[in-house]
Amino acid sequence: MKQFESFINAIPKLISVIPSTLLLFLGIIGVGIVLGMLLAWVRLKGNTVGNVLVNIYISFIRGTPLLIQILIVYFGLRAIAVNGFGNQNATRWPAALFVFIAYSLNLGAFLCETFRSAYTSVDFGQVEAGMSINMKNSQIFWHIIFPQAARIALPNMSNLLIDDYKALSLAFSIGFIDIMGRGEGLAGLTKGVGAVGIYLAVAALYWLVCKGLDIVFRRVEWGLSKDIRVAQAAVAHQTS
Amino acid sequence: MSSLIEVRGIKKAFGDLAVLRGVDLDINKGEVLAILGPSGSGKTTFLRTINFLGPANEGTIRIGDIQVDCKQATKKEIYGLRKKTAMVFQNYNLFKNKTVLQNVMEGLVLVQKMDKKEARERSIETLNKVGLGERLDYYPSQMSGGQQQRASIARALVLNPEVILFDEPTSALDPELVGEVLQVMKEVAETGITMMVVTHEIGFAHDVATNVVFMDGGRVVEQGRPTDVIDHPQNERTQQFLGKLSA
Repeated sequence: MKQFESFINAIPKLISVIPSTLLLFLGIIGVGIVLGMLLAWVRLKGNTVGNVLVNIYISFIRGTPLLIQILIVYFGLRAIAVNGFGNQNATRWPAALFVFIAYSLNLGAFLCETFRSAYTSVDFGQVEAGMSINMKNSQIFWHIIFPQAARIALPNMSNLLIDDYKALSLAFSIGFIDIMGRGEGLAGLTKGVGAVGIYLAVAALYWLVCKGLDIVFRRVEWGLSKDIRVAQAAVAHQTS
Repeated sequence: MSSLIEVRGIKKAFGDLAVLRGVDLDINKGEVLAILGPSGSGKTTFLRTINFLGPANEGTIRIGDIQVDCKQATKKEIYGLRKKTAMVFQNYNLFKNKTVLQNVMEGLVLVQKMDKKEARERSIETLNKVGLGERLDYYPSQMSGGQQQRASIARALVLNPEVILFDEPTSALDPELVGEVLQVMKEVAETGITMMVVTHEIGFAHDVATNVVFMDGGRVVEQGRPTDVIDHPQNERTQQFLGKLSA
């Protein structure tokens, strides 16, 4: 009963951190996607030097734990600001800022590979068709390739983003308070009594947010895949 | 009379492999030129040099008032050539995320900056001509190969180019569907538009083309009226090739 009570009591307190973390997360998604597209563009169209640099960057991000990356960004940027630029205020910069930077850099590297493979899976014949009718490269990209590549990238991207939202719990290590951080705080206050109830509440809320994200991503995917849907419907009709 | 298209000394190599060894051709306005030849003779490669999808290493191409030296073609010149041409591909290459109507409208709206309403009307009119007036809102994946190829002919036709380049337009099709595409091509030919058609359809070349060239080893080895080249080939390679087809 004690656990149930702490579960119920924790819910509103935990919910209170969700809007700000979601907002931050939206920012991370935005910058991550732009960065991922830029990196993918270098990998696809860039010269050897660009490719080597991007490859090193991606292998570093993929080959090291996110927690380390958070700590490097946090302590690294503060040290640079304080020692390099004499900015003593840097020690008071909000943890959210470092979270934003570290998570965007991380997400961009992962999305790069997702975007690159999605791009290459759109068959080149359509690009040639666009060229043959004198469409500009940018028109071919935005009107023909991007809509198809986005649809292909979306399921993978959704996975990465949902993982990333849950990974915000790691940012507790530099003092960023998301659902996990708030839960830890509450559990600390109770001196261990009712901790299970609180952690269950934390889990339930992560699950709810991720479910919500999942629904949004599915809706977007549905919107992007009208041509696929009609084709599948046609096949189903023929085989039934 | 000067020709509409004048091609001189086109050479192209992929690495060490010389695919085109100097192609010269003149094509008059309204001519339907069938380009025949065995696989590997350079037919498709040649056709793709005309609109710079696969630029030649050497040679000159003139279409109407635009003359381009392939060695030093500028973006603007390539744009100029492509404006006068349109292409129909072996694998149709329709935009998969667009409906048939959108596929046809795309060039008018994005490239020619035509008003959407007018582009729509022109596109529907053209799609009616190729017998797809009932399929406007279909996606490529919902259509047969023959229908897709007819849509891609409409996409080329609607731009009102000086010349339409056909790259083996029926080679990817079911035998049953070849006829409907050839029929549409025949109707297009009858409107007097200039066509260059790389094909293995000897019947089409014989009955519809006004001129035939036979390519072998990266060169034009024989050319003339279809009744001459196909019925009475002079060149040994042409005789061999046509002999195999009729055997």
